[in-house]
Amino acid sequence: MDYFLDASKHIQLNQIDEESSDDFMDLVDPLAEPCAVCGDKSTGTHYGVISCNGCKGFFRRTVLRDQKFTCRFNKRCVIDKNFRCACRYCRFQKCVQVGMKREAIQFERDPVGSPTSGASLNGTPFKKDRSPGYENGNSNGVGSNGMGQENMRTVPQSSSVIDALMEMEARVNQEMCNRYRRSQIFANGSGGSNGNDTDIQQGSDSGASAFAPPNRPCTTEVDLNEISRTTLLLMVEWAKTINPFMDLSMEDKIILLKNYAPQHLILMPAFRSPDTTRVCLFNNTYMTRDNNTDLNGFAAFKTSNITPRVLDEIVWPMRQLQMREQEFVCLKALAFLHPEAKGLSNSSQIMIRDARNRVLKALYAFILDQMPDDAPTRYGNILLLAPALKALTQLLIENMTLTKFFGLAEVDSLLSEFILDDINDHSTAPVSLQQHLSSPTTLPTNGVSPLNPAGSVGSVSSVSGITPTGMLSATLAAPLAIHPLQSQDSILNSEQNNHML
Amino acid sequence: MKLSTSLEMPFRESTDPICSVCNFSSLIAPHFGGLVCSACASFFRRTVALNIHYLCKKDNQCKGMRKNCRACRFESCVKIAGMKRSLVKERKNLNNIPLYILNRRNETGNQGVVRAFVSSNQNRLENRLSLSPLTELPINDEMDVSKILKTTPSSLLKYYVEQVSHGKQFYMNTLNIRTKEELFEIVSYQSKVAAETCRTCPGVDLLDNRDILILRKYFQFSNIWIESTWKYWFSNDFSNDTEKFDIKLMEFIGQVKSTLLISLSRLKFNIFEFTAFKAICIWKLVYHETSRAMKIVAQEHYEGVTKALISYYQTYTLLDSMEIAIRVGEITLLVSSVFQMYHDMAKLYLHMGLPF
Repeated sequence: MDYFLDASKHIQLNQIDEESSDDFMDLVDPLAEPCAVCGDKSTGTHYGVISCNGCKGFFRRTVLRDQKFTCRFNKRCVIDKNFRCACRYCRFQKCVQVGMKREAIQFERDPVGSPTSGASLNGTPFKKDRSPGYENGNSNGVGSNGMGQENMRTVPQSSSVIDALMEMEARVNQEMCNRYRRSQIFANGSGGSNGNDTDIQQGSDSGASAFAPPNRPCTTEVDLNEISRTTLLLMVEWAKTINPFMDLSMEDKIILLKNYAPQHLILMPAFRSPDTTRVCLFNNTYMTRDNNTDLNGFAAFKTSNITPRVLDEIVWPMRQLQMREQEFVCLKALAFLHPEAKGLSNSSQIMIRDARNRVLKALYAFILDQMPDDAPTRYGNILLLAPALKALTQLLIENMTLTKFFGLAEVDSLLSEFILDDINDHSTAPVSLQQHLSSPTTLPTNGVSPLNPAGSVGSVSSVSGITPTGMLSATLAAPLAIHPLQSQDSILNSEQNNHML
Repeated sequence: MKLSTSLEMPFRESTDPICSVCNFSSLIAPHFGGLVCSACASFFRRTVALNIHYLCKKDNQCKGMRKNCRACRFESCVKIAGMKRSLVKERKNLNNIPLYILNRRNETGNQGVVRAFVSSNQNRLENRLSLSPLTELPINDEMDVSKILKTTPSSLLKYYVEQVSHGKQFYMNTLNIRTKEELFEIVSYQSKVAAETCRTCPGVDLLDNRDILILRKYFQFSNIWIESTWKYWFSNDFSNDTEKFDIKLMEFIGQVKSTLLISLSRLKFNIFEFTAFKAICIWKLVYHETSRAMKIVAQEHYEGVTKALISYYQTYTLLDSMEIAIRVGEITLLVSSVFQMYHDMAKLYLHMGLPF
């Protein structure tokens, strides 16, 4: 209210001054207080501060033209009536210091002066020097400073969203790296006795980094099952860190995980593949477009029609866009937070949709920051990967359903729980999934740790499908001794598997 | 002259005139047909000369004061003070036009600038989206002709808008049917519509007959199920006929209602947004089953429709770039639900014996 009255008085005085400068002294008494900037005789309150016409005009010109000044001395010049023009830097700083607000400048007003003076200039500074942030027609006229504040408020939020996703991605990758270093040694050690030492050494070297180039094609069904199982278990740990996930009910959690699991199995290898000739898996093997005959008949049947489409529709667009890891983690979160999944409750849908909108906003802000010219096009192309991913999911589910139905190969029970929707598996899926979701284990920061209980349960359930070697059985004995309750659950799973077989 | 008049009256009487717009008693004079102060006269002149339209943040009931609400201040100028737009002269000096006005004119021609009191207000999304004229699209993309489709993005979106508008005339809501015979009737009719649509679709001349047959299937699917879902949420016809119905069909319709219908009723697409969504669904479904030529045409359609939609948002709505991004993201991600829907529909038709 008080500010409005001051502004009104300012407008009134300004117009009187314009109309007749001769009668000015007779109509309005000069205010008793001097100009807060230079001490000269003030003409009222301008931009929130009692000031004279000189300082008022100086402040307005500086803001409108977006001028920057430099002090030739040590930035402590005296600003008074006689020397206020000596240093414009210090004068402007004092204007701001005593409280002049740039938001109070009315950018929409006609520029000061008659139209004829405007015509004489080629273009008035009022028009040409407008702040770029203000060019957005959606502004409410607050001024460029307000726009800047809005922009600054947006960036930290989107940065924190992407940073959290990136941190979790790094931890998952590190855990995967550790697991496959150990797995590599076991696999090579359990091979032929010829060159045993050489194999172990090569295994440790190639397993030192999760991103070492793949050294051999994926040749066995055991490889596929093992890597899928580990990927899915780490996916559960990843899902626990996504914000509204832990607040949902158990049924909604299972629905989201089952909806996302096949997409996860496709996305993770696709991002690691450097080109469109092969899909690189996490155990440093690869699957090519043509050489799937190397796999035995059943595994080839499962993957023969998926690999070319993954390469064409997921890997190729990713390489074409040169997708960054920040964009990849956002895409994963968007695929996971699917409010239209069948069976979700209404409250869960609302929470998931809000979380997804936050990720959308963060992704667009990131793209706009990296390459502002073609941000909408790139943004749209990245989002288009989500429907393509969903289509490949249908194909994957059909393949596994056919494989299980005709008994062509033994489908891992954990994979069945995550991916298939068969009636036979309906009774067992909630039990195992609930167990994993209730597990308090989380990935440690340094990534160095023994296998967590969830992993051990997964390993135990594979006994019915795979003949363990001596070293594997020795490794599995320790978790059994430590976790008797989970051991009982594993026995139940084994019995059910045997019954189904 | 006015000042000398004031000098002759050293003491102001209580009957001094008051500006009927802002209730201030300062320099009241006739301006543009009303007795208002010079500040409100300048405000009125700027608004008319620059062709600005203000939106009220509240419910268009703001009273008095000058800076509370520009929309209500302008409305008071017209309704209370009786000022007339026709009395404002056209601005002669173009050098004094603010830069943001010039930029908007370069983008949209001289169609005026819509300005909300607060630039980003999510609660007013519906009102701002409804500002669009339903029959016009921007025509500033003449230089952006697709070499494959031989058309501009706005013309491409207009083609789809005409399909949806045409479909309104022969509207049969699929979500209200109960029996297999009703579905057969709708499928038979929509097959003819799809055939006609495919014949005139841009880019079809590049495809062979096998691809055209596949495209026709997807047009039929979107005509029957996606359009009904969009129209259903604001229709009030609920059938109470429970005599005979097909269980599988009712299950499928229930699934459509619980997934796509809920999302569409929440997003409240207007005809341009729904049309873009439908086009993206058709060409994204097509993308996964067809030849290389079809993939290229599909990509061109998607990019054209997306460009037209973004241009529509920037021109006719008050959404800022972040809000546009979220809106486009929601439209694109909603396509994922349609894959599941299409998959289940294929199984339903197979079970019913429908040729597909």
